[in-house]
Amino acid sequence: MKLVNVTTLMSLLLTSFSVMAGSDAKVFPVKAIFYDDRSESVLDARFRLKVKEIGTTALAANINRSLSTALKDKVGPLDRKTADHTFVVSFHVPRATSYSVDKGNGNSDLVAAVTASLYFTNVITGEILTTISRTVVSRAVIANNGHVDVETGNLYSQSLNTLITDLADAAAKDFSPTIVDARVTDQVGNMLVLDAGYIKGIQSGDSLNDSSSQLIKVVYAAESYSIAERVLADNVGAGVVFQKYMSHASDGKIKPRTIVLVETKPEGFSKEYIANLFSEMLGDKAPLSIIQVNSGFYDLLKVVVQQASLGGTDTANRKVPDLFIRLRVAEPIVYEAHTNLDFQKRRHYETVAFADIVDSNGRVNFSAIGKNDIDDVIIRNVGPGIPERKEVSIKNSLLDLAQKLSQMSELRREQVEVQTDASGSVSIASSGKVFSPQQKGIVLRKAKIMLNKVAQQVWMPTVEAFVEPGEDVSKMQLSIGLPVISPEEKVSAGNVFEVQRLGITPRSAYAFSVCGPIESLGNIATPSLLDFAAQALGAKMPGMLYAPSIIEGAKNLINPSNNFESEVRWTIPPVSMCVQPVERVTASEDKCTTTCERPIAARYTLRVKLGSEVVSRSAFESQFKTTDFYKETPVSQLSRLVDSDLIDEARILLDKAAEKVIFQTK
Amino acid sequence: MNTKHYTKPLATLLVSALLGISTLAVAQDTVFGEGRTSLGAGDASAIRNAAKQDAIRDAVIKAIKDATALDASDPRFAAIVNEVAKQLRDVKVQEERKEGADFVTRIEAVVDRKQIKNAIRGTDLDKSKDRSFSILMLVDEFVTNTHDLNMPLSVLTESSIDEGASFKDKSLKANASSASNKSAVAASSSEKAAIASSTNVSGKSNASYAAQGSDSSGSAAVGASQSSNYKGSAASAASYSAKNNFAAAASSQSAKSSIDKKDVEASSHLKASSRTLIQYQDTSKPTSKSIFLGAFGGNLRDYDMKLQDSANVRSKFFGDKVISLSVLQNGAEMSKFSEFARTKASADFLMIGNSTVVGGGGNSSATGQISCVVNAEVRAFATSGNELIASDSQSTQASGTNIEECAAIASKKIADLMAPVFAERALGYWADRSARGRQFTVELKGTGVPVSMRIGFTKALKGIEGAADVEKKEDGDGGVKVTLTLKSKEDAADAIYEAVASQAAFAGKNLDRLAVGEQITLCFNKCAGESPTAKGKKK
Repeated sequence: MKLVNVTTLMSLLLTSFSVMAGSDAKVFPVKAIFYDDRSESVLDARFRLKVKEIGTTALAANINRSLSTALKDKVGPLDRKTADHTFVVSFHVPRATSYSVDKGNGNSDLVAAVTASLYFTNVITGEILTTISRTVVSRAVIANNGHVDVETGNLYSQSLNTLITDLADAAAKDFSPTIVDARVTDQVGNMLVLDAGYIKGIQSGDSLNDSSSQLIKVVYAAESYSIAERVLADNVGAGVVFQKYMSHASDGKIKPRTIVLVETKPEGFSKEYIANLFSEMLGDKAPLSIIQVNSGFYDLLKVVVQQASLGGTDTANRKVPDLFIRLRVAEPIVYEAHTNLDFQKRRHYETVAFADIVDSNGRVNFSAIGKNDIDDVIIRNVGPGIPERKEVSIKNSLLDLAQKLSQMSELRREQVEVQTDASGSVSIASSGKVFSPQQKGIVLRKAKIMLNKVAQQVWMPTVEAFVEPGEDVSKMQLSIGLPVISPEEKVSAGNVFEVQRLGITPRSAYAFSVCGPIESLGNIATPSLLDFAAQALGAKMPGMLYAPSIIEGAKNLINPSNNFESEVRWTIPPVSMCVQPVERVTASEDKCTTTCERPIAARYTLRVKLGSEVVSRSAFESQFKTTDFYKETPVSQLSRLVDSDLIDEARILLDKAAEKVIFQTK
Repeated sequence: MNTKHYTKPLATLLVSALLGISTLAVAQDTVFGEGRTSLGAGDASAIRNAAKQDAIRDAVIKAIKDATALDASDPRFAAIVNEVAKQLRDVKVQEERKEGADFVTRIEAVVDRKQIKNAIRGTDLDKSKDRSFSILMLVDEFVTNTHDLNMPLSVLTESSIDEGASFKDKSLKANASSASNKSAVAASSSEKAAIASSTNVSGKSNASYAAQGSDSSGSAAVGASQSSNYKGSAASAASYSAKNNFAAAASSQSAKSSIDKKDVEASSHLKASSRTLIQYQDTSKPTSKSIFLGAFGGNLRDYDMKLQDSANVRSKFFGDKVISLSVLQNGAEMSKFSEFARTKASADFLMIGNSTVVGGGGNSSATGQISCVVNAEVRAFATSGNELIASDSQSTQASGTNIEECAAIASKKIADLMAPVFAERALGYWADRSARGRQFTVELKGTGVPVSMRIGFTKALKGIEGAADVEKKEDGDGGVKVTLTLKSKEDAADAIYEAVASQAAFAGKNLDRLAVGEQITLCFNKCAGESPTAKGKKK
């Protein structure tokens, strides 16, 4: 059995992220409209036709004009001198679909939806700082024998115009400078207490100025206050206001470089399309900067080189990402159930999407799940088309997933109490939390300060400290580093050690992975069971979960021929344990009155294995009845209805089982 | 759909080929400066300002040292330093901190040599030698199209069949196999001819051969498609032209005759002949418009480099003959031209290069414009000694409404991108030379040169101010050959002549000198035989 040290992103976060843009960040709007014009494009052919009809050159000029007008003095030239602080703003259309719904009265509802995004890209590093996406849905009612193509084209044209204006406004808003005020409210020793913390954008390391050019430097930022040292501010006292200048909303934020790797995808969608769609959603929501590898992004780089004063090699040196998102999208579950009305049916769509955030150690930092359900009422076979709704369901599940991921991608702070002994050595009790050796943190002590005219008890930073490698997890030694305040203070009992973390802290240091094959002992198999099991383990994190399969997917995308400076240097430790899901799902006879329901007994076991030997098991079971259905519902539809109920149950049971997984025999 | 789009081997290859894989030239002219002020020097604003100014001055002194190898930290240059400091844009404060009783500021600034050269113009710092030597420029510019390269400009196919009446079927069958063999031979030779044609100055290929009627068009297609493989690098293909051309012509001839003969023998009742003419676009000829050179030369002028346009001077040497690098690099012409540059054009350096614009496919779906890629390469070397002083090669893209516009924009753009890098290197060479000296090879020539004179010669060289690393390479009756590094503002040949002539051993002797680049020869009475002026005089 092998214990593997926890490796967190902490050191990475502290050292390797470049602060993207300085106070002089500029933008360079590209004169182009990016959309997939290939024959296999998922964009509606009528949309592509309309774009050609309007004229790419005219559209590109319109986009450029709108962006330049909206962003005004933020617009600057892009050449070798400015490239590191100038973001390329480009207009992309990832989605354009239309469908018509027969209203049954000789008319149809015509619906056209266009999604457009603005990318803010650093073309030197190849990372997309942020994306802004908007979707415009336009409708028209036309006679069933009307000109659908012409009308759809007109709707697309309107939508594009709206999107160009809306996105230009949004860009101007996003890229406008903001000034954060931080007022000195108290002093502790020689340190200044400011009334603004990281919520407002103040971070440790920030240099702040006041109106008379005095200078202070933030050494610690808590949620709503921060502590600063004087650099050139001898006479500063309570009441003086210091300012932090940010050139745009994303300025100064720590944004790990991330790439989306699609492992499984629904039929009829390309991996590239799914990756692109999800990357855009993340760029819009998550504190991550996204790296894209797809033909669309190459087109962008190519056009940028054409329009800016850059050489061909200038954009060809992308850094390898810090984090990898392993994305799996399950096949949507679609069924049509009968209702009490003969002419009316209920059509149900359900899509689940899974994501793991994996670092270059192959370790899953956290997992998230996104889900979407759609119910359509179908009257006399008239209703939204299945392919369109499937796509909507997939898109919505990804949107849900992006939202969940973005919440989890924020850094969290964790505190443990510090113990001191007579010899002066300092230690921490890890109490269910795993620290990596050399993990850096800061020791805090309690202090009473005046904050917003009220005396409050807060944590004051004292010294930096590191976790020493050691066997005894209940008492890990800290080595004390440089003081962050003056005068220096000794670490004493009652102090806490604070670290910043990304993701879910593992409960133990046992390294494991998820493995198949799934053992199905009942008469029904749960769809995507392996994914649900992995997601439950990634969410509960009983040990250190590794996903070595990520290497394969990354190898194809991240390499010098895709303009990365190198391949990923994986440092995946040997993972000897694995967790195998086992299911026993048994359906009994249907019980019918006016409607029917099917009783189901489901039991899920997570088997911890070391080689072929089973070390421990964690199992949960429940009995439930399916959603009511009418007898007339065909068998094929019914099995998918059961699937849809079963996955909800499986999620609950697997979560519980994952919570209880242990890696030792009792 | 499938996963194939995801890996994109083809697109990837293409893009990486276009974009290349190398590091960014950004921040090449970035300098850092550190400044400090006492913490007691006024209020916060005054202290920070003073430290920042000090840091900027520090950065400027470093930049001047990079550009001219001169130390500008002396207080008498303060005015010049301040002047350059005023010109600086893009100054970024990297760090501000307290260090003991000082306030320290670190800055990063972008300094162009152009700014420095302008600021020190006419001042005491303006002593660099970079204007004393001129560069003769010769650049070939090509505009081509990936599309054209895959397609012959014209294809002419002639065939005539004279069939025997009675036992046609049988003989045809028997013939078909043998004929296809032969036509394969013919095809490979015609392929060579096609390649040669693209590099041939005349630009025509005339591959004619006889083959079985049904096979002839097929074999022609082989020749055409295979040749296109080579065409991706049209410009580089230009270098091995002449030889191939001859070889191809010869093999094509022989193939023709042999097939004719055999066919006749093999099938007396079926006569078939075919003639195929494939004419490709000629990519060996540069365009007459020199956009790249115009822009590149103009940009270099801003760095106050002494440039000569070869358009004017070369007609003196070559008359009406059109010269281009592709012609020159074909053997002896290049060394002749180099010599011409040195003697007739009095250019110490020759800058040669080429710029190739390759038009892409159709209009981009994103911009509605045509795109093109440009690759350019320039290098400058000494006309004597061939020492390379600067070289650069880059590639970029542009777009325009048609290929001409695109080519013009691309050429201008790449010239703008390359000029600062090239100038930086060329001027850097002179900064290095004035800091470290130039290396000369000095020779004393004569017959039966006495030992006293040979010793006196070496002694004289060692005694020259700024001379170092004096090493004797040859010593004998025929004279002495010495290499030395000379750091001097004077003319090297004059300094050496004076030093040697003033030696007692040379008293009463009549010395002559000959300087060819870094080669300096002293002779008794008259330096004649080696004079380059004797050669290549042609008008």
